[in-house]
Formats: sequence, structure tokens, C-alpha cells
Amino acid sequence: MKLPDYTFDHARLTALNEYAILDTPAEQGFDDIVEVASALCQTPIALVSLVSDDRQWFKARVGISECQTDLNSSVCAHALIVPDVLVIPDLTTDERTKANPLVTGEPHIRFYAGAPLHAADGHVIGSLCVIDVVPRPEGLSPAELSGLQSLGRQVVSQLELRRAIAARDELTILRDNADRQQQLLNNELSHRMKNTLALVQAIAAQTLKGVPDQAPVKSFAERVLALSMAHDLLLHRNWMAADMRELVDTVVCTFGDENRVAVIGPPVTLGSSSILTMSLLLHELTTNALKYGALSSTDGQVEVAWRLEDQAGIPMLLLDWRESGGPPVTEPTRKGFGSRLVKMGLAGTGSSQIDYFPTSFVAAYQAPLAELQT
Amino acid sequence: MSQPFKTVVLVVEDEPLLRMNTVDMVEDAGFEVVEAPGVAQALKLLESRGDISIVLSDIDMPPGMNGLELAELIRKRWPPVEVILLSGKYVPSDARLPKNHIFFSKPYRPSDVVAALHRVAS
Repeated sequence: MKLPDYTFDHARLTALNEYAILDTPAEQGFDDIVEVASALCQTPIALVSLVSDDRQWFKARVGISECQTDLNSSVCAHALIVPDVLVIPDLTTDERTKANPLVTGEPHIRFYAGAPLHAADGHVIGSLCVIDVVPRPEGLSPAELSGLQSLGRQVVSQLELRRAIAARDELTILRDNADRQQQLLNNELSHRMKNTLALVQAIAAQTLKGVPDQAPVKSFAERVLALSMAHDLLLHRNWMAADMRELVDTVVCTFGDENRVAVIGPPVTLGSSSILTMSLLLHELTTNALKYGALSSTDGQVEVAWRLEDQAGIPMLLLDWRESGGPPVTEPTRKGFGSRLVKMGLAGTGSSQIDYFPTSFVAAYQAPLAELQT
Repeated sequence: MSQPFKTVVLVVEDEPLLRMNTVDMVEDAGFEVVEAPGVAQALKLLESRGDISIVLSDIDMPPGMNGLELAELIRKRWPPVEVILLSGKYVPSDARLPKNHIFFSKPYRPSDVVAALHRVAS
């Protein structure tokens, strides 16, 4: 008997393939359904049969050991085109099945009822069927019929769930891969940038080797180093931002004496450009303290304190650098790059107040937080 | 002025400019310097002369063996030799860095590296 043309319908086969279900291992969800179908209809055999273009493959089965048959032996193919349930009370008398090898030979099947499996897009990809080896002239009771249809819908729900989980897993893997790729790129970029800064340092040292006064050469190298540390901090958060405290700790502790510097302030996230500017500012303040200020004497102290404050509805960051216990303070007469950096402020635009009191040096800065976070 | 018993430092760095600069720094700090542009050449030097007491090596040197593997090999074959590692890729907190070697991130502060050299030399 010729199989329905719909068996070989391209769109139907595509719908089946999209579930990626053929030749997968047994799963409890489907096994349970055939158990229930077999018990419900009192049949020795129940199958979740998926009909491909060259075979029918059983995702779940009871009462039969083969996991698939060729289409020549398929009754389920005929269930693909019926509106609800295909019931054949005696397979030996039905034109579609009387020559079927499973009817004429082992296991001599006689009764068939199959509920079509409607995929989400409407195509029928197979059937949930119950089979007996004796004919059943009375077919299935209305309760059995409706039960078999419900279980058929459960099979499709299981297939959908399975597909959704697979899609989610695939997305997770893709996202993880993208994250890893991004991290790799960031690391590589940081590595190259630091190598470039190291080269800049080396070029400066070699170029200015003959210069008798090496102090500016050293200053240059250390400013480059402060910038490189700021880049390291930014790397941890994908170049976008870093924490104020991390920056203060890194710069002040590398260049200064951490035991004599008190760092006080709440967590504040700063944008990449402020982090770079501020690394230079903090480095300058620290080296000045070491050369001329509080950290140049044995008992001098530095306090770095910041706070957030609302000024006329605008959130501001206020940073105070206070030195005490150092040698007498005098304002430098030479306006070099260093003192310009110190005056430049937090974002290059914020205000700064630098006071050279006789016993202490105080630098107070403020800038709108929003400017520092872009 | 040459001293008869200067400590010998082997500088391993693939980037010529950085190697030149590092060699200068180590020489200026009063050490005798031998240099290698890669791990293979460094191993040849370690094998051919018995007077190297400190190796100052970059970690990231493609292709072949990197500075971490060199450090590992030195620890096995020349246990008395001290190793100081430099890298632009690793940060000091990296768990992959061996605990028993000194590490500096690049760009480094010359005075820090020189201080470390004097510390391990004594």
C-alpha cells in the first residue's frame, strides 16, 4: 500500500528535524507516557513513533524490542493525515495495512490506534500509538480515545521542553564563549598596552641617558608607571570603570609609605578617563610628599579622604589630601608640570584649592560625580 | 672600576629595546650582566658558565618555552640560582605565578627591581 504523500513533505520533515530527536537515548518523560498509554488502552504495545522519510523511529516503546522499522512496516505513516486518532480495529482487513510485514509476519499485530503528534508549527511528525495482537472490533472507548489524544499532546510538550532546554544551553554556551573571548581580548590589549608603556619608559631612559640631571627622567618614568597601574585597574572591569579606593591604594601604596597614609572614603566607582587623570594626580601628590612634604620626614602623616556631597542638587565628589607633621611648608616657586598636575583637579575641569600652611599642606578637590563617572 | 667578584645576572628578554634598557639598569646597579633574547639561549648560557647567580627574566616570550617554564627548569637544575620574573601580562595576584620567585609587573619601577637584585645577591 502506498504511503501518504505527506510522509515525504519537505516542511513536515524539517519540522521533525528541528526537534533533533531522532536516535537520541531514551528519556524518562517519554517512557512514562508510553507506560500510561499502554495501561490506559490495555494494549501490550505502545510507541512514540516519529516518522521520517525512510523509517519510523521509536523515542519510547513498550512491548517491542526494535527501536525502528522501515516505512514499509509503518502503520503510523497513515496516522499522519487523519484529523484526530487513526483507529484500525483489524489490520488484516484494512487496505492500508493488510500487506504490512508486521501484520503478515511476526509479531502479527492486529489492532492499531494512533494519535498524531502535532508539532508547534502544525505539522504532524509522528504518532503516539497503542497496538494489540488481537483485533478489537469495538476500537477504543471515548475515554481511551480522549486519553490517548491528551497523552499525544504531552509527547509534543516534552519535545518542546526538550528543544527549549537545548536552545537555552546553546545560548549559555555562546554567551560564555563570548565572555571568554572578550576577557582574552582585554587581557591581550592590556598586555600590549603595558608592553608599549614599558617600551616608552625604555626609550626615554635610553634617549635621556646622557642628561646630567636624571631627576626629571625618573619623574617621567614614574608618571608612565602610574598611568600603567591605572590601566591595570581598569582591565578588571572591562576598561569601563574602577573603584576610587583601589586606585588610591594602588598608587599611594606603590609610590609612598602605606603605613603613614590614612585612606578614608566610601566606595565610589569612577569612569576610565577620571581614573587615568586621577592616577597622575595621586602619583604627583605622593611623590611631592616623599620629596618635600610629610613623607620626607620621619613622623609626617598623610590623610587621603573623600566623600560624596549634594550641592544644590548636584552630587559632588570631594577629595582632601592633608599632610601633617612634615617639615615647614613653602609654596614652590617653579611652576612645573608637577604643580600643574596638582592644580588640574579631579577631571581636569573640577575645582581645586591648594593651601601651603606653615605646618601642613592641604589640597582639596571637588567635581560633579557625573563628570567623573563618564 | 671592575671588581673581581661581581655577581653575575642573566637578563632574558625578547624585546631588544627592553633588554638593552634592563641590561643598563642592572649594570648601573653594579652587577655583571649576560643577556639572552630567549629561553633557549638562556639555557645555553646557564649550561656553559657556572657563575650566573641571578636570572632576571621576562615571562611572555613566544615561541616555545616562556619565563615561567624557564624558572621551573632553573629551580630543578640549578637550585642555587635566584629567579626574578617580569611580565606585562600577569599581575602580582595571579595564582599561576610560582610562589618561590620574585615577580614584577611591567612597566616596572627600576628602583624596585634593583632593590630586589641587591636583596637576593646578598
